[in-house]
Amino acid sequence: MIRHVLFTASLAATALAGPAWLPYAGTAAAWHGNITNANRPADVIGALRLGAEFGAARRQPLGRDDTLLTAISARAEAWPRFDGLDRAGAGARVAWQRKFGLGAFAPTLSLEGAGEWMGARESGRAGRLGLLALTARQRLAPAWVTRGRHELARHDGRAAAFDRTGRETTLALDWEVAAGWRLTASVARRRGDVLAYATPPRPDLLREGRATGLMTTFDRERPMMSYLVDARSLTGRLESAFTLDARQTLLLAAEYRETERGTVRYLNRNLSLALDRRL
Amino acid sequence: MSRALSTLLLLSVLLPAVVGAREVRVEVRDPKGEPVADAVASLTPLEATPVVQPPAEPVSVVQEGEEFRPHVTAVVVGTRVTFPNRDAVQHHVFSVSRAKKFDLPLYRGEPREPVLFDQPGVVSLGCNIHDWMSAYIVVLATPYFARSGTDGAAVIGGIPPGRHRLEVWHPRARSALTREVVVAGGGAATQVIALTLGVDRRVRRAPDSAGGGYK
Repeated sequence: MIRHVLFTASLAATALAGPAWLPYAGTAAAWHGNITNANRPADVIGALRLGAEFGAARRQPLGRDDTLLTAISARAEAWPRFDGLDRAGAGARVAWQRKFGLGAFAPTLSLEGAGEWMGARESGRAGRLGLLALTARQRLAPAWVTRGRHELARHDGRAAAFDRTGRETTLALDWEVAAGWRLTASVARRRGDVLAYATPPRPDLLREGRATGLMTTFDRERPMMSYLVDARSLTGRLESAFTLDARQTLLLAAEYRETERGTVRYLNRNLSLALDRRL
Repeated sequence: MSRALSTLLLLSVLLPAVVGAREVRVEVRDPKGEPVADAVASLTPLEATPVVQPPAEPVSVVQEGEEFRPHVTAVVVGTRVTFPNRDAVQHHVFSVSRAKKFDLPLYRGEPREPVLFDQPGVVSLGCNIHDWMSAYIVVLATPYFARSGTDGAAVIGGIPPGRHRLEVWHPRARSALTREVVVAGGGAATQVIALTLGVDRRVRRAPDSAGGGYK
């Protein structure tokens, strides 16, 4: 863990040395209603996640219409109830963005690649995350913006049990209700691997996926089995963002997700509160 | 009685207002009588071509707190305007207005060169990164102009005697309001202008994500 923190600190120092880097920090608290992705009430566990992020970002012009966006960040998340889920790591993000014209109503297209390395208290959960995304943005009216995004993500865990691949398409609509207040409604459809935890035996889960190992993460009398299932998820999300002052933004979000594969179906209801701050 | 009133109203429209003044105070109000700020009032002599002398130093429109300051700037034809960026984030200032098309790709601090405004008209400014940033430069072919403050008053001084076209422009007015006035002598006179303002269609300033939206 110390090695990771030093690596992160050196990345941040490099970032701050540049002339056009903008440092930022963020903290978040989120309630996950079903962290086990379980479909039987006895296996459903809720937990609080606390997170912190520090990073720096910059925007470099590539001619009039094109921009290169780069960001590096370090983040950590803690799960007070299940510390085996605690993780920390660092990553980088690069995006090429083209704006087709000048002004608020010109459409924007961006292609983004991101990589992140995460260490974890349960070492098998450590790993690398890679992401490739294409995003389009169009302002429809002075107070309305729509965005569409398609992303491919791959997590390579230190233990193969935690490898996951998925692709997700998101459509979002922003309503800028008033100065300093934005509401965002979005729907996302994902197809890919999910990890569902259940108390064995679960022949229904074995029919739809494969068992990847017994886990003691959730402090149960009997260890839970993790199952890797290739499933479809549909997510609805409502977010409200408020400007607190010139540097700080408060974000509240509620999310509802339904995941399904054959006879297996489970729900996630998550709530989050985040504070972003420019440094 | 109503006939007399009608005649009076007709005359007030057809006949130029006579103001015995070298200074004209234009009070801009909305239909409710509230003062209207950021209106540009100008007087153009109708009997002689005005001599316009642009200032030697450029006029500044600053970007600060991710807003343009001031929101409305009035200049004479031939004025150079500079757009210093005092924010930590970069801005991309542009205009697609007929009176002046230009863009200054992403920069911080001082841009390399001021922009020359060599055609009369209204130039609408924006930032290509921050949708809500907007401002106006009103380029005039007359040296007699002023911008209204929060009290709605625009005081135009040093006006030569004679017939003038009074023009009042505001970002939310559908078109400029014009009226003929005659400046006859010394002292000061007041013109009260009622402007009907349209809906404010500016993009609202939305909350920004950390990292200036780059995250």
